[in-house]
Amino acid sequence: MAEVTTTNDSAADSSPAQDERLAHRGPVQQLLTRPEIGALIGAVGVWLLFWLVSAPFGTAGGTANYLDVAATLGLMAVPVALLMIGGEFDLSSGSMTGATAVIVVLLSSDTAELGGAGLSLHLAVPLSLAFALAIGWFNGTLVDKTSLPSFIVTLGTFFILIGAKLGFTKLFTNKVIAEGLDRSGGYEFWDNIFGATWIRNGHVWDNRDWAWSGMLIIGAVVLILGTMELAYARREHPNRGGYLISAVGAAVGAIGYILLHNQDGKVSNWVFGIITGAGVLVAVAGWCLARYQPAERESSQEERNPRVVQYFVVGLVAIVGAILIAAVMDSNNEGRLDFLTGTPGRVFLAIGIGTTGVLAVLAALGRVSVGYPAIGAVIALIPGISYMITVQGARAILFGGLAIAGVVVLSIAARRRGLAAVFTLLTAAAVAGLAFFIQSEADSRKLRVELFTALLLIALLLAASAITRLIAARRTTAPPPPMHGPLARQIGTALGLAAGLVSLILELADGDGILYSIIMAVAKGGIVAFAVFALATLFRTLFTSDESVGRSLVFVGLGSVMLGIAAKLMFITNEELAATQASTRFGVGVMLFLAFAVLGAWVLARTQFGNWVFAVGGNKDASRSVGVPAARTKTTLFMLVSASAWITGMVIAFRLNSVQANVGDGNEFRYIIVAVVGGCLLTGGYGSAIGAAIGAVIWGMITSGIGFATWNSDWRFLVLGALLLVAVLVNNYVRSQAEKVR
Amino acid sequence: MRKLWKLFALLLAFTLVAAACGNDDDDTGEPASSEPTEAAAPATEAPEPTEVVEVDPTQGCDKTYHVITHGDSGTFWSVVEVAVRDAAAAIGCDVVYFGSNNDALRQAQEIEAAIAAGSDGIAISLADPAGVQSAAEAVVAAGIPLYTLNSGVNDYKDLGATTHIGQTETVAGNGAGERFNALGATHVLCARQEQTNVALEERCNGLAETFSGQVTSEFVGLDATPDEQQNTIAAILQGDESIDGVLGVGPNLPLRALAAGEQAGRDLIIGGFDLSSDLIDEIEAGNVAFTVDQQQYLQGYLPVILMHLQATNLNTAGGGLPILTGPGFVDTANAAEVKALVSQGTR
Amino acid sequence: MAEFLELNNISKFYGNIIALTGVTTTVNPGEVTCVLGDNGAGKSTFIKILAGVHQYDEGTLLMEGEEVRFNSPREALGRGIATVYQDLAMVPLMSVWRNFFLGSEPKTGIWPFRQIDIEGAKRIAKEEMAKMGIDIRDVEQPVGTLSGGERQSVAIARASYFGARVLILDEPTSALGVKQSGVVLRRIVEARDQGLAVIFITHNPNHAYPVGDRFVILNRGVSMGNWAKEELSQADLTQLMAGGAELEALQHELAGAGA
Repeated sequence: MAEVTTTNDSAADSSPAQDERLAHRGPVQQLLTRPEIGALIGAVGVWLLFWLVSAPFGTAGGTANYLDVAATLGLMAVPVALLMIGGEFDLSSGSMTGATAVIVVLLSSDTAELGGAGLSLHLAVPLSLAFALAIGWFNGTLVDKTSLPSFIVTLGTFFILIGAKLGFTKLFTNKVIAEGLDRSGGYEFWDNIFGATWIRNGHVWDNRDWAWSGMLIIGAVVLILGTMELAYARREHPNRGGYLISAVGAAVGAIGYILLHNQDGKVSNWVFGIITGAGVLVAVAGWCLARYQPAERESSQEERNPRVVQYFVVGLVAIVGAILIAAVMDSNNEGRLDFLTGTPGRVFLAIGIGTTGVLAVLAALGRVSVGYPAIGAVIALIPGISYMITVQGARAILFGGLAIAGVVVLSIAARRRGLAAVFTLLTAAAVAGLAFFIQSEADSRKLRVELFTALLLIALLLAASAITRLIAARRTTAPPPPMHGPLARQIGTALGLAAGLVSLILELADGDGILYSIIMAVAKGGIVAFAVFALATLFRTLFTSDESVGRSLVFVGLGSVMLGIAAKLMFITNEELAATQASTRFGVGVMLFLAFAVLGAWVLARTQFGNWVFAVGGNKDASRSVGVPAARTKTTLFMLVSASAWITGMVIAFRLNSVQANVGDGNEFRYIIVAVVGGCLLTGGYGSAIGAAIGAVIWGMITSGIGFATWNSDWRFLVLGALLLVAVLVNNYVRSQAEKVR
Repeated sequence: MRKLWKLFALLLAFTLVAAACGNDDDDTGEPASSEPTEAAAPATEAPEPTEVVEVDPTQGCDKTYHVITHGDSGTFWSVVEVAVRDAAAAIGCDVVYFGSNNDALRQAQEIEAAIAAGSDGIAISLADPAGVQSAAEAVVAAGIPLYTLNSGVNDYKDLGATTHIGQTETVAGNGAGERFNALGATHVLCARQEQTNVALEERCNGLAETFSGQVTSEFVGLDATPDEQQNTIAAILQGDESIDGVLGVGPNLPLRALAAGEQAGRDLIIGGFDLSSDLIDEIEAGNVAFTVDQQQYLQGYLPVILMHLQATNLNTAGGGLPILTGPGFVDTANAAEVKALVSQGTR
Repeated sequence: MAEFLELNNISKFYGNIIALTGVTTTVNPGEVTCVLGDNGAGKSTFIKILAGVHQYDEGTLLMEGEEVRFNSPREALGRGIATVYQDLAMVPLMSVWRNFFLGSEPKTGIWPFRQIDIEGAKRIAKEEMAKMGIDIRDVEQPVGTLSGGERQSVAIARASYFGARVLILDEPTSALGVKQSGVVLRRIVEARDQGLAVIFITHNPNHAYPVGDRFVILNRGVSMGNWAKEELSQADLTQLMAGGAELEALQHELAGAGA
């Protein structure tokens, strides 16, 4: 039946609500077509993997560690992504980072002792920037004037830079390391800028946990409200009674949550957990009754999938299996899960080879598909893999994998038509059960507190979405709602700027470091602006029926979640301070990296220059003929890359105080890889700055995570390659699925 | 168009500034060249490292020697090059130095060219014995004295070389292991800056042979990505709480390990390989315990002298055994003296 | 009264090669002037002279009675002459509204936060497309997903929105099927009715005749003449277009061969 209809119809057939989707892409679909979505999913996956297998990875120290690796990569990957979107490559970008660092050291270091120009850093640092910009300009102009591929032109610059770095370093110092930056004039001043670090141990905030978990929860709730606003049809006149029910539910939920977090006992957990859950669900139900149009009865013509029960059973079995594994496997064994040397290894090998043989014969006979013998090969590989991980790691992976698989299968069952809402509720119940099991059985505090909270939240989300679906009707048509509140935005921006400025002046007058002052100023200004905007948005939600409020709510929710995470990472409590000697530091590189990512995303999506970048990468001749200055745009991009290389070089130079001539060489391909993982096309015209930043974080997480997990580094590139491949494949798959829906 | 001209003007101005700086260097470079010891004097006369060392012909040496290595332009080989130059100045003969940058074919071609040029003695490194075997055999067949240096301790005899001047990596690693024993370490991370370098692996294996505790050998990132090295070491330290020592098998890694230890809040016993000014500063300050010095200056200096003695005086050193140049150690005891020599580029 | 745009004996040489010679015609608001010619007839040289890419060597180009000479595409655009090229000057991976405003993005905000007025741009793009009789579901969808006719419509809507007084269409129907061509011809009529002067370049007399008010035929760089619609029938046009006498000779030849 579907076969005879046109392709458009059959694509729509597979989705539950065909007409709605053609007319209106919901918030989730819109999100899924973004280029960086694959990288985001990959990042979450990689983070979960290492968080499960290694204890310190998820701590602030671990985060600082991988963010630091990501920073020097991402500072370059973001502008390189912009350049790639503009349709060009810069192979000299990697060696340029080292070149600017070498130049600063050579220009500034003292002649008598080491050889060098002995300039003050006040002169040397701007000179190196001028040098970097000149190289960028040269690259851009040459590419434009000769119309040669930028691959070739910048390859030339790449070799020239490598040669010049080495030649001049040896000429001046007779060695390949340029040393002695810290003995140069003006070092204090510039080190305060490029060498600044945020030392977490110096920033104690005892109420941090309340603040951050509060922000996280409020953020999550507002986020849910926002998506509901976007997805469901609004009542013309809100129902006040619903608001009342909702408020009562929210209060009960909040009390339950506070009590839940105040103790750690089996019975109280169950009791308060249930109170929390019930409160939230009542709140959601009340909200829906108040604001959204009631759903029509589900029509009888919808087909029911007969396999839905099977899915459900499989999902439940997986979750029970996860619980069993966690209970059975020795939770105290810290050794390696070594199947390789003992009998189990031979057993696995024998089973694997046997299976491969049988399946190969079957495949040859045409009874099974050709891919099946690979199953045997995977079994045969198990001993090898087991050698790499600890018992605890294996326990965590198996438990986590089965639990995730179970939840996924359950949610697939819940997506089927007919009893969708009921199955979603049952899934939520299963996840909640999983959460309580972990809470009462797990040995580690990490699993008990963090995983429990996460699972409980997921369960609540599932239940809330099921209830909403039961109560409210989906939107059928909707214009893409603009994010609104120009007045609130303007007042917020003005107040925020004022607060930031005052804070900056006060902090600087106090003699705090430049980094600290700037972060505090930006943070305070941002929080003030954000608070004004958030309050205005919440006000609108309650008292107007403005179409635009949904997106504003999503924005407020995301902002609140991110503020919460930042608060947890950047501040320490006295309790933690007493327990650790490690000093967690966030270098200025990390801050710059995050700023770059945000700035890059803004420039790309919202400015004229960003539009031109997409245009010259997508179709240079076309953009030129409508008046886009293509040559200037490209040259600016090249200069942007080299200016970022200068910043990266300064960060490296002021961290090490001495620079080896080959620093940064070969990194240009990492930047490109990271940008591609983040969703950039090699052919140009498509991509994302945020994606490149996420790609850099993935890279950082993998390189550091292997260390944290104490995996053998011989396998490092194998793991790196496999994970990167997975990220790219997921990216492709998700995007093609999302586009199909259209 | 006017904008383009402005940019040109800017570039021109920048070039002029750069040129002016260059002049400064020359000016200030001159008094520096007259100061140091006589050994360094010929080096600073030449504006850039030349391959042929010209020496006052009045000394009457009519011999020419060739030192042809697989070396690159890193810290290590630049010292060898300086040593070759100094030895040439000492004996007053022409010595040609060539580093093939790990290209065995280039190295073999250069050896054959040296034979054709009628060399009086050739010293080669055997990083890739198979690659230069035929060329090395041709040296012996032509009756030219052959020496091997740096790498090739296992193969020099088969090729017919008089002797080998170098250090075996395993022995160097053994030395480091004994040091860690003496310093009381129990679990040492052997951090490598290259993933597939036999010499670095041998150092770690040598460490494991003599060290009485546990050794974990890991690749922690390239020298080109120093931040990654530091963070990876910190990650490994946090992943395994029992590690209390780090041996970096290069001159940069001990410094990264020091920063990583601070990051992870751990007090570490740190050892290193080879030398750099920064590393010696840290040894002097007591933050790094020691570094294994392979004394590569000897590997450049000795072959030239030995070839000269064989060519002019028919001496053959070594007695069929290799001449070991290391391991020498730099620790708090001798750091101050070595420091001065490192900044001259001879250690 | 002076004609809006008047070409008198416009010629263009590339060295010794005569690219275009003796082109005379007029273009007026609310009229469609069709330029017909086979491949290599000089149509693209003609466009490029009017669009400011090339400069003419002989003759005069009068705009509202005043002699003009465009030194760059920007100058021509500034005088209100917009060209919709065959490749449409569109970036397929970019959304409809971004393409619509490419190069002339509306901006809002004060300097460091100066950004594109995205909401306004989307709204205008949708409205302008609606004026052309096309309802774009979602102006966020990439231009690459539109059909050829829809893309032409975007390009024409863009040109007319940005104050074009003369619209040059370079072979807009050549790559399209019959139905899509009909859509584009309707757009041409709509643009004309909005008061634009349209120059419609094509090699297909069947497309030109129904919409044209004035016809110029080019053959190997030489203008064959300049006719108002009343002066010739569709059959004449086809005849002229196909090479006139040459075609007759060919017909004789074929007839002879057949007999």
